[in-house]
Amino acid sequence: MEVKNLVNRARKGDDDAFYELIQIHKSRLLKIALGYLHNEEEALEALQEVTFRAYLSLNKLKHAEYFSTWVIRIMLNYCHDQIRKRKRIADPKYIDNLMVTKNDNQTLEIEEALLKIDARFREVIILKYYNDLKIKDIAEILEKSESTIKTWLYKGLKALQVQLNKGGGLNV
Amino acid sequence: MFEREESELAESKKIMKDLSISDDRSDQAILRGIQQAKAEKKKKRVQLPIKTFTAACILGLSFITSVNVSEPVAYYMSNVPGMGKIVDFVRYDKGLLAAVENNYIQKVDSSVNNKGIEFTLNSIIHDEKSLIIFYEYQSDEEDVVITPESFQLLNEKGEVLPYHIVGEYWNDNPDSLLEIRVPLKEGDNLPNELILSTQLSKDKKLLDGVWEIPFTLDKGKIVGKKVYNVDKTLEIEGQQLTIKDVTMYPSQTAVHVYYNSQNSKKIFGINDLHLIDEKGETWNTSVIETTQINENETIIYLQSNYFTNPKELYLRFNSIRALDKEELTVEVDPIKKKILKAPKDGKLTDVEIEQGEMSIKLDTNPNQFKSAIFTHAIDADGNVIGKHEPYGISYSYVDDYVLYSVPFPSEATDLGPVKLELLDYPASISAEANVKIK
Repeated sequence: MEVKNLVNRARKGDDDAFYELIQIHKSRLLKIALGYLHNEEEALEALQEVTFRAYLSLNKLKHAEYFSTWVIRIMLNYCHDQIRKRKRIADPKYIDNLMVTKNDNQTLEIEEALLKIDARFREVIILKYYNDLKIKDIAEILEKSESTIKTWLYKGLKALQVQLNKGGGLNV
Repeated sequence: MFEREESELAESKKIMKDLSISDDRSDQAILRGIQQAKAEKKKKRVQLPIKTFTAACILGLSFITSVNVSEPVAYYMSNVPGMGKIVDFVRYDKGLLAAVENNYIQKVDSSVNNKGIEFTLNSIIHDEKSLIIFYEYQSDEEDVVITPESFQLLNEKGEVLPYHIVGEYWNDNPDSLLEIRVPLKEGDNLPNELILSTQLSKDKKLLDGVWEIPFTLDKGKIVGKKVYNVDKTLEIEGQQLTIKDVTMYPSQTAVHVYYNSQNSKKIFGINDLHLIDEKGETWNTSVIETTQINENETIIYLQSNYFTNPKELYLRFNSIRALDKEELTVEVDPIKKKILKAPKDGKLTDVEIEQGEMSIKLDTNPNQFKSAIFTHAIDADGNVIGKHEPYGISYSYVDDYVLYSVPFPSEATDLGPVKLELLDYPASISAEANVKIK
């Protein structure tokens, strides 16, 4: 109710309302960003970029009541892109550097493993385990049925298991 | 079944929690995102010369604020097939709405599709004062920001014509039309066959190729301007200004104003200037630009009442923006980051220098005033610092200030105190003025 109201005000050019909207979603958005990027600076950058994108495309949002799922989706898209970019620079000659960064950030094996599994499964796992969202909410955000989300969750955990049993990519 | 995975995920979540991000830093990120988005909206305008920039701001503003629309007419017109969009767009400008209603508009409705972006020229309004172009673009992709990069007017051979184009490049409603104008001078004669050409960028990256739409002007439609010689001088707290004449075009009304060069104050502008007829109907500022002819002579544009033809017509305003001529220069010491000289109302504060910019805070309500007050600093030898770099105006409606930034490379700090010439300032003198036009 409140979100819908704020969206309508923000659309009319009320910047306070827009600021409030992002504030309400701030902690969720940051959790997603951290889940993907494992780095404070990058998470803040992600929050800024998502704010930027949401502000400029607010009027493309057809139903004000879906703001929450919509803005989370913008964040997910942003994080996907960032990870894709990172993969591109994961050239063997940079791996030494990567290892250093990795240790600095205390990245766990599980986080490395997460980046290796199917993007759809990863999304579900991050939303469930990092953001504590219910299957129902995840289904809404990803615009899939609850049973699909359950399947992806199962497959995702399975894929993680396989990755962890391999002993983690970069550490081999 | 997945105990290990789940427990490791929980562990990783805990570590993530320790990566604490302070509210302060995240709030800053949000504000920066908003400011960046607002700057993106205005990006093109900031790089325009000062006159057009201020005016473009006013345009954006007037579309939001003025809602005194002749609703029944708008409602009727918007139901005429093919007219809905244009009526929705011009309904906040009575003059343009009347032009549409009187069939003064020329429909073009021509599109070009390139790289999944459809660019459409909806219609034009052409009179002796300007060529107004209503356009839009739609992308196949969602969640991308498309902005035109540089509009050009070409003749039928594809040669660029030497007109500059001002107006809107972005609207947060993707289904809305946008408006650009080609201001025309006395004697300018556009060819009948024209091409509107632009490049587009997607998410700030320039796309290859151009989007071009040929169109034809129907010059038979042009109607002549109506000129009212007024020549009336008003005195406000010792400051004299003269309303020289008022010229009506279908697209807008031009009010020609002189300020007495002997005035002790510099007059920056007139607040709430409007036309009012014998029935109390008003036509406000809804301008795309103000033409500063010279320091003491300016043309202010209002909504047109060309097609209304009232019996009596008055020009009214209730205050002017003016500042003592001795207060027009602001002086700043970039080393101490201190203001050495500024208007004595003390509204200018907080000098900051970082990332190639000097920013100064102005205490004012951005809902009421956010015009450019200066654009560039000048060193002791009179050289403009960072001449070709853009200046910035940022504000958030949360705060009661506007932040102005001018280009200021770090080496400029060694130049000693620098000056900024004020181009506008929110200092008002109240004055009830009522001038008979006819």
